[in-house]
Amino acid sequence: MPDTRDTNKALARKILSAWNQRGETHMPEELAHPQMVRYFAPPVGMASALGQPPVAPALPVTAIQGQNYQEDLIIADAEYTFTAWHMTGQHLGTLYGRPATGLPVTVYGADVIRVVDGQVIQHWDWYSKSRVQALGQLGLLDADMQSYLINNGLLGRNRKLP
Amino acid sequence: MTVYPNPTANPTETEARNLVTMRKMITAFNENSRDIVAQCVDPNLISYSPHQPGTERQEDEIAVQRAAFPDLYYSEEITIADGDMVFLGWQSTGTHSGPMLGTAATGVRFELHGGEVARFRNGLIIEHWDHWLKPRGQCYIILDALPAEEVSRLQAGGLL
Repeated sequence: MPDTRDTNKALARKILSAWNQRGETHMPEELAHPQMVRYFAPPVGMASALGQPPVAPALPVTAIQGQNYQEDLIIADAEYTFTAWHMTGQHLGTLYGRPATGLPVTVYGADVIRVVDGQVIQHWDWYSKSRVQALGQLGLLDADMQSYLINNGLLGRNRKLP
Repeated sequence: MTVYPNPTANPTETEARNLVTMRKMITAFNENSRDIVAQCVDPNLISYSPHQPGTERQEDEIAVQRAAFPDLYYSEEITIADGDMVFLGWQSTGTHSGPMLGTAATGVRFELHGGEVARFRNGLIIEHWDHWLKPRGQCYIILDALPAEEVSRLQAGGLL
């Protein structure tokens, strides 16, 4: 019988593979537990197909095209799996109102999943890191863009407190 | 709603020891304690993620953070232990009460989320990574402290 850690790591790798086909945040139906909950930042843009709170990818595939996710590191116990990755792509479409620059980007990010019965029942991410990183690389992280990120909840769970 | 998972279930003896040490690093940052860092970190620590000048050593990073955010407080969100590796996801809160990047204190209070990865050897942290999760850019944006020239500087140093 395979070690649970190994099967959890294999599942995390399937998710990364799916992102290379469909973009980040895509969760193949067979990997999603019927009660899956995903803990993302305040919603913008994309809605989850599973009726959960809407989620947004770090970078839309229409803007950053040719997205290629590669595993950097996976750490797993019997229930939870941490996946660190990097993604390369090219800015070929409008990104938060800014026209394509044609520039390449390489960004880093990470996700944590909780696995029950071989399916993902909880999913957390830190996607604002890679978004800010990409905007900086593209020369688009000016004051207006920074305000846009704040006003549209695009800094993830990071926030100014009252 | 509690959204964060429980700690590693049924860790091995080594994993349990590593988790204790990883959590002591949170205490070190919260208590501004160089002594606790010395108890947790191998003197030959290798850190693979870019750091701001003067913060290559963990205890020096504490000092830099304390200077800008004296009330900075970290808490654990999640830990995952796997052999000699540990992932720690954290939440921090603080107030911008001292100068940072040449920007005077703004008094802004903030909440940030990030994480660290460490490899242990003989119970001490011997390797460290944080570049997947360090919310440095987000912090500067929240504090309204990220002019274009600083974006370039951070970008050049791999710090964004």
